[in-house]
Amino acid sequence: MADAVTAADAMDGMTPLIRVATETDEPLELTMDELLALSDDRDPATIRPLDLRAGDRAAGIRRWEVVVDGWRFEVMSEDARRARLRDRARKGGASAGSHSRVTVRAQIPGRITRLFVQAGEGVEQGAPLLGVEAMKMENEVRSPRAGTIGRVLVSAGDRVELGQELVVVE
Amino acid sequence: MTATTAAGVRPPFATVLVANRGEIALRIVRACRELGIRSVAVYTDIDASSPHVRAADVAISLGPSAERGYLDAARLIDAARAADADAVHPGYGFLSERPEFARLCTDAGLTFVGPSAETLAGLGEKLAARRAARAVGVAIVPGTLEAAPVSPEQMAGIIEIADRIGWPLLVKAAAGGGGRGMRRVDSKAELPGALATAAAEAEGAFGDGSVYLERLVEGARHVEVQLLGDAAGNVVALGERDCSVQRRHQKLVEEAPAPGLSTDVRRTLFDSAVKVAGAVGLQNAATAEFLVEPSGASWFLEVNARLQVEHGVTELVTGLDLVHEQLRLAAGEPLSQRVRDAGERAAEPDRHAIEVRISAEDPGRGFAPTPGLLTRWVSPAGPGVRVDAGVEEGTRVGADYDPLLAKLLVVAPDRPTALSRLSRALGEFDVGGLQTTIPFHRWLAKHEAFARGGVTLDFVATEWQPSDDRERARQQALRMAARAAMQAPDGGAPSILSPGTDGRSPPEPSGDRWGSAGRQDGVARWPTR
Repeated sequence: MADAVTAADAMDGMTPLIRVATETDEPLELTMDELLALSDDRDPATIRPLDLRAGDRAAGIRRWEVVVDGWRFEVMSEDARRARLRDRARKGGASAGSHSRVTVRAQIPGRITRLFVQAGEGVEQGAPLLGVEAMKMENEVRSPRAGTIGRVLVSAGDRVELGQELVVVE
Repeated sequence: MTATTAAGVRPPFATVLVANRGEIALRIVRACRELGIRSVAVYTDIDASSPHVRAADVAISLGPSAERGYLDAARLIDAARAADADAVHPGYGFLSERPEFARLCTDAGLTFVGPSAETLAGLGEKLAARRAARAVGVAIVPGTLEAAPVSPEQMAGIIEIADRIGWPLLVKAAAGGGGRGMRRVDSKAELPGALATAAAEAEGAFGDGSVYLERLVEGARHVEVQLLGDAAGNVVALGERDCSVQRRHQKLVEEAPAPGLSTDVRRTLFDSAVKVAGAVGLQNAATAEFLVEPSGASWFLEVNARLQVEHGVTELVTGLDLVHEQLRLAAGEPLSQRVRDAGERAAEPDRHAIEVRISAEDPGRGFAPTPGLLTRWVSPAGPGVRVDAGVEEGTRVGADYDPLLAKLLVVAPDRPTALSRLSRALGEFDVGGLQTTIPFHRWLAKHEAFARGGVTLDFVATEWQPSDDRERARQQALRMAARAAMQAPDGGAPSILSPGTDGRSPPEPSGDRWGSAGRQDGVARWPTR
């Protein structure tokens, strides 16, 4: 019964039905009307389901690879109501202290060439933390925000895998 | 063995070892197959299941070290001997321009498909090449002809020289290439620091810290001339390629002919290139690089004594197969009539070809490498389209080698048609699993200034600002994921939509309406503009 009511609400075109997000940017919630508006979607595009990660099924999360005009995105989708409930729960339960810690992970596998920072040092947002060499090119990993270096988890010369923890900014 | 091809032509060699990997190895293996030559591929462990390995008649392992692998000259020679090869084709990169490798091949009784070790040694030293060009009256970019001193005591002298050359200028590595050991210097104060860092970088990259000064020619285009030469000393210029679309000295796009170049300028370039080639005793294939100013004035830069990545555009315009020609020339044959005829026509080409490099790089993040697993790889086809790829679906793109996945080439009777063909072909590319440079090329193919032709070397740095383009695509991606989640019932998202419930179904010309779209192979394809 409750489901039927919700579905009818959703069909009014104003209630967010679904939340979609890419990993690095703000999520988006879409209503029925927005879902049906195809006007902008004229670029060549493909969409395919991606494998779920641990915990996705229980949370009702699904994952997609969408390529639009050559740009590739990994998008997660979930029921908007469920997502909002979870946000609320998270906000209530967030513990002080941990909210400000950011772990910087390797975006590409490669080799650490240089370290620009050490533990205890203060950094500005965008400050270079270390260099990673991959495919003969050196890439600088920058600090996602201002703070203090908590820990440096790698040394120059180390090989790192995708997603490996590099530096903790507190 | 005196095998002949189906056409009854005697192959120039019985067996050729291809000392390379990826798309260029496959391209050379294909040429061998066409000429009736037995081909031998080599591979490191991570490349064991690569297309170039399967395509060859014989494949020999170079062992587990990805780093050493294709640079291990002794092991390559052993492999060539074991496979009973009579020649070695080095491709580009790796050992292709190392005189020591060419000499090792010759000493082992193997023909090196390329210029002689002496020519490679002379051309690899950029300063020697500059001196050789100047000696035959070819204009070189103003600068020094000897290595610049980097020690602080000699700084006064070098600053005086720099003043005469003019600012801004470039500090370049004498043994260099690919932008390494290169620094832009805008004023006197920056020079000592730039010399020191460039020398250190050159020492690290090439084992030779010699650097020299060259004027920075602003507003110039990079135009290069394809050359072929035979053992008798005959050299033919087969046309030019414009490679001005570069990012940090790395070519992204190449085309032939260079848009808007007059026949006179073209002939001057060809003459200069042939003169330099003659001066250094060039045999086989090479490319002479020039800077061309808007006025048409041209300056010699250097010679690359090997097959270039972008050789295909010249093939599409001339109709020649440059690898076939390389192999015939290496076997001692003279320049063929076909090549000479193509040289005659080169200043007045009757078609246009464009190549774009499809790499595992993210053009939205400064072209940072994006290694990963290619979960899907469907490349374009149809009239006037050529794809030279070294990968396929299921290829794991590692971080150990160059990020080039494939080259997409198009050819058409004129440049506007070639450009629309490029757009069409890029739209057919369907790549999954990792980000590629395709969005950059799609943007470029629609860019007004590029369509007019004649963009200069600063084009990418000043024009490529991808954030809006990418954000628009991201918004569409989010909407598409939302719709897909609503349609496909399994997985937790509510399924309350059905096709045509309210007459607001999207206008889809392909006919794959909402309900079926999500089920078709899990793939929905939106209409092309």
